[in-house]
Amino acid sequence: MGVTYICQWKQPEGQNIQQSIEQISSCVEKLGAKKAGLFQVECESFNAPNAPNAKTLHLIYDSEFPASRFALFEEGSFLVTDVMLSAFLSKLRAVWQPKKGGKIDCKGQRYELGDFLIKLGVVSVGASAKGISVELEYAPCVYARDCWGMMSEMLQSIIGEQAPPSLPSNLQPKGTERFSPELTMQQYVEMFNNIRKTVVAR
Amino acid sequence: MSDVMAQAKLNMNFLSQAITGTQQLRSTVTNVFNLLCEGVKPDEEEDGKGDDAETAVTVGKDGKKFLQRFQEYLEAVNKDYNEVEKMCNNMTSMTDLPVLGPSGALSLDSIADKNSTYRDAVLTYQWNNRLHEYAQIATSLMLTNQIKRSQLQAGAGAKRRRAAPPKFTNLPSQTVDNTLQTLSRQLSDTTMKILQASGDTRIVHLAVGRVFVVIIVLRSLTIEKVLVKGLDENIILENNTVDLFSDSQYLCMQKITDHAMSAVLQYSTYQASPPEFPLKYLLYWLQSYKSLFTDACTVCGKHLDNGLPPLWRDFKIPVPCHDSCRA
Repeated sequence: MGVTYICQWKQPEGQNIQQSIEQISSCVEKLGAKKAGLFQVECESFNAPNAPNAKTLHLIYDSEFPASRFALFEEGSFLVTDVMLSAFLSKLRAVWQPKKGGKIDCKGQRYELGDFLIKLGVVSVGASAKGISVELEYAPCVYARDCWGMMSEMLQSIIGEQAPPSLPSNLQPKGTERFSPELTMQQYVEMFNNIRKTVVAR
Repeated sequence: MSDVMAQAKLNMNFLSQAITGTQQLRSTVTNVFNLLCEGVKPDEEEDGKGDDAETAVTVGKDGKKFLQRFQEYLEAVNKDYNEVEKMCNNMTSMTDLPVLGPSGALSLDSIADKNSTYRDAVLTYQWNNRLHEYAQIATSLMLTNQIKRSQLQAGAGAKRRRAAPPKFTNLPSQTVDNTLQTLSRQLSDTTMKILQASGDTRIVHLAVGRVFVVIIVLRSLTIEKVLVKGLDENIILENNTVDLFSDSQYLCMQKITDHAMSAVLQYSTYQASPPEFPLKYLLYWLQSYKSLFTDACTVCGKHLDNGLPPLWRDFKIPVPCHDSCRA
């Protein structure tokens, strides 16, 4: 598990999702990346209506970690469990109830280029596509600050101007901690929340 | 070529004349023996029957007739013999035939007609000759256009390479441990520990900065194997032994392993007097990788080349450089 950066691709005016995906894929393939299967990330949100101060709970499934489920509370607590967590949550229906329209997923193509893993996904709520996600993972390095120069160069060549100019704050763990799947899941939840907000705003 | 043909033709002529001459000689010799067998005719004296010329001389006048005939025949023999000898002297030996030593006798073997050993031997000999000729030409050409990778003389280089025996294998264990400790203190940003030690063999674990770990197998102070792996890869197997054989799952670490092995070969050929020098050079060289993910290539100024960071470090001045950028 290396350093991962996830961002939402902002579509140019007058371009639909399919066209954008094709544009980025051709760009990635031109760099020399090879297709390496499909990926899927699902996120389901729960809230506790009976407890007024309770934060939202996000339950995430990622095809990169098929035997695990990630539980992330809005305030920052994080839990890695096995696949039985969703069954367990349904038993706790009296406390945790699925949020309405809280199911969101991201599916798409994986690419490999050297030790880089590039994932281009379509984010959809229910059946309607809402946006495009771009995920870049550099596997051999476990410290985001060290390999940011390389990742930034790669992002520049994939998403051009939309690449962040400096190391995003959400990629910087406290102190000199190693990068962990938790940071990946946090980025996914943030991106999903942003997409939901923009959908609502429209 | 035509000279050779004319010579051969002449020889053939001489040969046929010589054969005719030999036949003539045989017939005259046969005449002599026939005459001797017949001996003196019955109307001649009994004593003339002897088969020797001297005995014939002692007989009477009829014996003289016999003797006269005998002399005539002998003269004919002498003449024919001189003729054959002349023919033999006229013939020259075939000097342009390949000299095959004792294998030339194969051509005389009648069975050789069935299995073509002699013919094959001659062909092989000719090919061998040609090969030798070509090799000589090639050598002379190559000597005029020498390509050298080093400034050393070719002879001196070959000698030096041969003179690199594993000469430091018999160091006492305490010396090796002390050397390793000293080396680990000298390196910055690098931690070194001995994972396993059995007899002369030690497995050393080296963590280079926040970049990778290296497993080095040492026999005394001779480097046997270097394996580079990512920080999050397993190096200890389930049965608590060190995994020395599976490559890293990361492409860049696999390539660094290859470079490290060539570094080992390079440093082992140095004429270093202290035994720890090859190891020391290697450790300093590996240490230069601590900035693998942060430094850009010194040639093209970029971080990435085909998805890989600048993986190459020169063996003398270890500056980061892409594989494709190195001169």
